[in-house]
Amino acid sequence: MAGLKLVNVNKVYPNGFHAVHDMNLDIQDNEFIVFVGPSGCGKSTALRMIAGLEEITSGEIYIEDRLVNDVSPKDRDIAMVFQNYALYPHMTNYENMAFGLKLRNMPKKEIDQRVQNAADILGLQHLLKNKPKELSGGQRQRIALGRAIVRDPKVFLMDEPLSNLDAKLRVQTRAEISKLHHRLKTTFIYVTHDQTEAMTMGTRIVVLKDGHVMQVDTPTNLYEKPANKFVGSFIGSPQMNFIEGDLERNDSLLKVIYDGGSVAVSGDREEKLKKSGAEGKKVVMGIRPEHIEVETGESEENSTNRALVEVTELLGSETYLFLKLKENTLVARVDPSVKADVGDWVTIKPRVDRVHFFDPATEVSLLMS
Amino acid sequence: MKPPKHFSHLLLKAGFYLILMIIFIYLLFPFYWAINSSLKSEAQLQMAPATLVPRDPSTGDFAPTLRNYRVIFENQQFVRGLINSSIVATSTTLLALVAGSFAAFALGKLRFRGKKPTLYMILAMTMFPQVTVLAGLYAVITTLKLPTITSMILSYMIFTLPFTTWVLTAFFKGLPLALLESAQVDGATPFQTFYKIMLPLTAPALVTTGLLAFIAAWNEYLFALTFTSINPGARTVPVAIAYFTGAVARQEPFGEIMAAAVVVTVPIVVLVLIFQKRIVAGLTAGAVKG
Repeated sequence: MAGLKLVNVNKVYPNGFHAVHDMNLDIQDNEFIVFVGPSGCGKSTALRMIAGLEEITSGEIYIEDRLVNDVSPKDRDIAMVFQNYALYPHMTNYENMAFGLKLRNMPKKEIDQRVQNAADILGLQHLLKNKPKELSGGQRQRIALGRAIVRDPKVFLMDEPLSNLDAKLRVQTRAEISKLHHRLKTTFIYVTHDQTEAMTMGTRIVVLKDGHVMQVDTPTNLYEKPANKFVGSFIGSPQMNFIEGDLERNDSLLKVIYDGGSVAVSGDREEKLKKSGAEGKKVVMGIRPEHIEVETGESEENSTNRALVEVTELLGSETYLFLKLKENTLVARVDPSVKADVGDWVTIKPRVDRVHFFDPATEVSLLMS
Repeated sequence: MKPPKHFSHLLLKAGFYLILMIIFIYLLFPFYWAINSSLKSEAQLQMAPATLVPRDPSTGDFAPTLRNYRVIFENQQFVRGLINSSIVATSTTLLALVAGSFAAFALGKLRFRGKKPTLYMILAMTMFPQVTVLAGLYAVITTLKLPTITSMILSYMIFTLPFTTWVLTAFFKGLPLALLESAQVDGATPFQTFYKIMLPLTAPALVTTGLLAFIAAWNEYLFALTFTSINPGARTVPVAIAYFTGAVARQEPFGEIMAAAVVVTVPIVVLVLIFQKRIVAGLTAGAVKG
């Protein structure tokens, strides 16, 4: 149970690959932090540096205010769950869980108590005498979790623990890990490439790209206020739509003119755009599929915001429409009651109070100022 | 099933067993001949044509004799050789396994500079024919005044250690790195990781390489012959057999030599049978499941 701090942490591999750039992070006690990003973004490296399995090139890592740069993994008071479980095949599940405690010369009675307790939490009582190879993937992962729990560490580190499980089991185990976090009240750091896992489990999410931290925020804020185009596109499914447009003031009305349409910006967003000095310049609009309203029925040719339905995907609870403007293609997520067929012309209305604006060059959000 | 297909299937099977039989005979005939000869008396050995089983020269009845075995076990040199060989081969095997597995763990799993050159240097040690190093080794041993048995054990490392190291390195490499890291996070020191996690998992490989090292040391002749030249008491069994003398001058005691050869083979056969299951696992398990 402890906070964790990363100060200007860098990792450069001997071959010159700069895996993590100046990572700064302040993790509070009890948080469930998720490192998320595409493969090769440095998320696993960051986790392994916290674990002490990877040396840091420069910077400082603190666990509960103790500088741990030169502390070996076993003395950092952490426990780690690996992607491929990493259970010791020659030991029974009980021995697997007890191994770390035995090495610390804990009395047999206490070891037994802790293992039994962890087995209770995870529902593994009946499997303790078996060996890992007799278990299914999900059960093995739970033994690995148990091995971490018995240690009662300050920080739980998990490196893509669900990616070897099938889809159904993944959803189930996801919930179990969340429950575990509530129950143990310990700091969790969890690495995944799956934005759904990140959004559903994390109290705060660290989005990484090419070794750079793109944004650190709560799931809601990542969704509502992406700091840049990358976060906008990475969080949310289907992906955010991006269209280039011109921000112009017309009769005291701030408008975005884009591919065959225009939309007026008002209120809070108008203020922020004004402040960012983007008026009269090119911007990139980021519109989430759920923030596009679609009106069916006849629309006049050459009327603005007109789009052609190219593909429809009916999912039952919702429908995805792939819409073609003059040049750009958009995805809209609409209610199944919207009846649009392929080849229909529809009128789209971006919900301008939810639209994001990014600088075309720096890709940074213009709404953050 | 259609008859033609059935027939060709049968033919294939017959062919397979025929080839198997040929290989089997080819491999085992020398051993069979050694047993056969070891059970023959001097007179029976002189019979022409040689008989497939010991037969009485005049009546042609089946008449094996254990005389050769009795003689060799009465031969102090031979018994001594057996003891010496056991000491040398066992020590060589254990040393090679201990040093080899240490080296293999480092070479297979740890990160350090100069790993590749080290591996190739170890391999290079095996490239020299034994004869080329023999004279030099002999000089070293006499200069250092090493006891003969010790010198044999140490010099056998020249061929056993590179072999065990290479095979075990490949095996250690196959073990998932996550296991090592998991042990590290669990609190194991590198040495604990080695003997509590890695070693139990490499047991099949240890048995296989250990057995092969034992066989090599047990059968070694050239080094043993040279090093024991001044110390007959330290002769190993292959050398002792070579020094067998007949009852009269220039007589080659063929039956006794064959009996000794059979006796010498027995421990290895027994060892192989004991570890049979593990050997198969060691030879087939290229990759270890995590």
